[in-house]
Amino acid sequence: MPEYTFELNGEDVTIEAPSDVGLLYVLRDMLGITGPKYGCGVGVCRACTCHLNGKEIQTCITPVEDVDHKKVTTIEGLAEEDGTLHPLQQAWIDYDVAQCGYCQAGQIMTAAAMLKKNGGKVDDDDIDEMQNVCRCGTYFRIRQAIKSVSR
Amino acid sequence: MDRRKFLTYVITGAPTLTVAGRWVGGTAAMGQELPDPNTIVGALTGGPIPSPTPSDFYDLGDYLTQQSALGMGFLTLTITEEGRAVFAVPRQEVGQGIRTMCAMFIAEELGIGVDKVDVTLADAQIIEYSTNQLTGGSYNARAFYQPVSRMAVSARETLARAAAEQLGVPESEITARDGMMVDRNNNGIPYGSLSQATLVLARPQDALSDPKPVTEQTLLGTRVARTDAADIVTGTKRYTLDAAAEVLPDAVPTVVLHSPQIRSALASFNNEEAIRAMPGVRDVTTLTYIPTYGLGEDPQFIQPGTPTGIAIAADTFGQAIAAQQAVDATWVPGAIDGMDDDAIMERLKANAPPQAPLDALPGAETLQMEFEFAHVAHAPMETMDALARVTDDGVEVWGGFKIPQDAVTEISLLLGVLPAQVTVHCLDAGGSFGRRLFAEAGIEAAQAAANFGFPVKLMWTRDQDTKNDRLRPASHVSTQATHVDGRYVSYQHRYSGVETSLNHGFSDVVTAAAVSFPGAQMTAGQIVFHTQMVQSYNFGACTQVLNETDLNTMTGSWRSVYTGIGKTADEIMCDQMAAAIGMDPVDFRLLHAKNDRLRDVIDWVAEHGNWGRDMPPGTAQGFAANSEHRGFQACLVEVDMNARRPGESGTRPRVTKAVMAFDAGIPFNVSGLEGQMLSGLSDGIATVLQAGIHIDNGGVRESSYADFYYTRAADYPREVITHVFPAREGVEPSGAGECMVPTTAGAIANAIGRATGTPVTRFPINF
Repeated sequence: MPEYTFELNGEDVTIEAPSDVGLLYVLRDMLGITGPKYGCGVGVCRACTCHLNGKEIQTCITPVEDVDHKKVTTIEGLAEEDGTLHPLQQAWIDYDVAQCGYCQAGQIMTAAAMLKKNGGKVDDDDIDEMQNVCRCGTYFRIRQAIKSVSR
Repeated sequence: MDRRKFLTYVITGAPTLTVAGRWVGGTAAMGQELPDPNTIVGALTGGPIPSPTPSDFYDLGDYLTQQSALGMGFLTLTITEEGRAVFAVPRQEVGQGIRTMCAMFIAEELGIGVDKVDVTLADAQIIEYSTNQLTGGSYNARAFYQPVSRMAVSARETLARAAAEQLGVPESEITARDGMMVDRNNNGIPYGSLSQATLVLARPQDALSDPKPVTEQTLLGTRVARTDAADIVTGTKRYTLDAAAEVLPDAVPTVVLHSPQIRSALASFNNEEAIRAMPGVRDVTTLTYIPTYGLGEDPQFIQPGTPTGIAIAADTFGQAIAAQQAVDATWVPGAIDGMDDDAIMERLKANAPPQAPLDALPGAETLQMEFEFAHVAHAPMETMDALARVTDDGVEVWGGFKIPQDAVTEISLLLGVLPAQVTVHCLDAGGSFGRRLFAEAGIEAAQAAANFGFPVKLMWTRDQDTKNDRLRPASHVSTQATHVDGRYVSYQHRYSGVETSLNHGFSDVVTAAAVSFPGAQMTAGQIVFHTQMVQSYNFGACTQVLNETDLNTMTGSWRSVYTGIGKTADEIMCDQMAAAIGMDPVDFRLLHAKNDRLRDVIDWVAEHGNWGRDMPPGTAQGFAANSEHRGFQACLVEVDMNARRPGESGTRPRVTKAVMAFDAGIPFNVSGLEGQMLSGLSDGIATVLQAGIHIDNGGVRESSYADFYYTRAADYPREVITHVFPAREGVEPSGAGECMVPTTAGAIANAIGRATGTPVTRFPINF
């Protein structure tokens, strides 16, 4: 079986895995990283969203071979090393965004990548482009939380 | 001029007489809503004519609260040596915030922060909680407020007694402050130290004094964020499959393939050897669970023991899913082989209860409307899943179960073991909306673990979750209202739906067994329908009739159950009734509202939503109100029929603004209540605009959120105002979890009707 090495939340990991298996399953079933969730397996619901070299990816449709020698960040690696939460994580708590919470890691990772891409500033139109599904319907608080962090 | 004053000439506005229940034997007895005597007088003199319905007097929450009261004496609060309060609630957390609410009840009485309270989920307890372990029906605030508060009072009294003894002062001189018991000289002993000396195990019935009156509460009635918020945003909250690392580390990823048609069985598995040879596949087996169903035309459609699913275990879920997709299997024709949506709707129309005869009164004018609602899937973010191991000692299962006792019963029957040998642990779940009343994945996990001989973490893929959902049934509703010279004298509601399966019973094994008898399932549906469907207005003689058609399909309660459909139709009809007599829809509702609490929420929303403002072409406001689960809600929305979504060339309707108010009697967690309102609005948007399930040739067409399109950010209004009314004196808390679904759906449909000039009668409109 091929071997892959990548940086996961700041630490190098090496695993043996079939080349076409989705990164989500490598993270969850082989590496014990359970923040990213399975929601649909086809890249639609985006509960599995993580960052690859700082950009948003859907890990359920990203083959593990695509991340070889790259940098993967999951929700577990979003906060500072000293535990200081990312401003979005703190805003999510302040606005009491989550209900069941299952989609929220993906929502936060999508929003964090968007903020980074846009130089820290997002508006309502940008937020409308988020495709992440929240079945509890927490969209209004998600919007409030993101806008509170936007410059 | 104030709308209320304007209307006082027709409404003599005394509040509805509410006989507030006294706490008896562990329950808040029901608050009976009696007809307002002034309304009766008004009716005699030309005002609205009362429309009493059964749920005015006794509602579903009354039933569920009284049933659960039988087991409230087993609730136990423990104070640990660290001074933490620990309570295992016999309910399922699915995001509705029941753990946070219970933590608040306890923290309020103990005078500590919610961060010092640990609320966990109780295992299935088929004896102690035989009637007290059902999560559903929006009754848990009603059922737990008194017992959990009293349990905390009892703990506080025990701690005070221990402190008085240690400090050598009378108990009357001890007060609770910041997690300590303190005497008049400010000598304090922390709860933890006191519990070390006297293990504190508190139960509701041991409390000597009453919980704090609402006026003295400092925590309840405020905004408290979910107690697990930090775990959620850091990815450390453990849902079922995540928990395997801690509770069942050897569990092997397992998926299950079912038939493409609803309720069918495996005829042949044509490539088992090839599947076994696929990368990472550990084992393959067939499962024989037949989900419980109503007793319709052919109850023995699938013979017990017939395979109904193929389970595949692999090193990773990715490999298991790949193997599942490669399966070549043949299935026998399903329960509704050959049927599609049109055929089902024809059956529903043919089975619709007849409307009342017309022309009974000279000079009467009658309005009629007919509505069609498609099936809708629950589609919780976390698909159906469970962990299971089977050993010589018995069966152990972990998962999200709204009636864990039903899982115990079904597992014991399927595997031929005693219920006492089946342990079911409840874990927080990623949504339910009614889906987790049924426990198929837990039952299948138990059988898979038994067949494989190793523990499993079993998950339905999204495709399987959608195609095997316990759907909100397709339904046909007809409404009829009659007025004489603008005065409504009758309102008739006729509901014809595919049967909503309630075969899980109401927590206990007795009702679960009872509803399996021929005809009993239909009776259970009638009980839920009539105890849920409140007629909010005085429209004269009112009857509501339900007829269900059993197709042996997979159905179940979907948030709001019958009212999500029935009250949505009623609120659309309400707008047409107003128009028929030349009245403004809000004035019409205020005039006919059964009581002041409903009028108050209508008033608040109309005022803060700027009802009646000029709207540009292609946009409109819409309004709806509802009374349900003893609470009162109103909603105003604005829609834009020509909204554009990023990246799409066409236009589509969008709700651009929403204003919602909720009188929940006694609000416990304002943030939680507002969260439920915001959540209900998402369901209103989805079910009106475009979340529907197609039935093609007896199977579900949709397979993920790609085609079962649920509300997303671009569909949700950017501007939302929510308002929770402060506590009312002399009233009981209401239910909250489902209340906003029909209210928001009605408002959205009415806004679209006003924008287009044509009332919405088929749901979802984009289907």
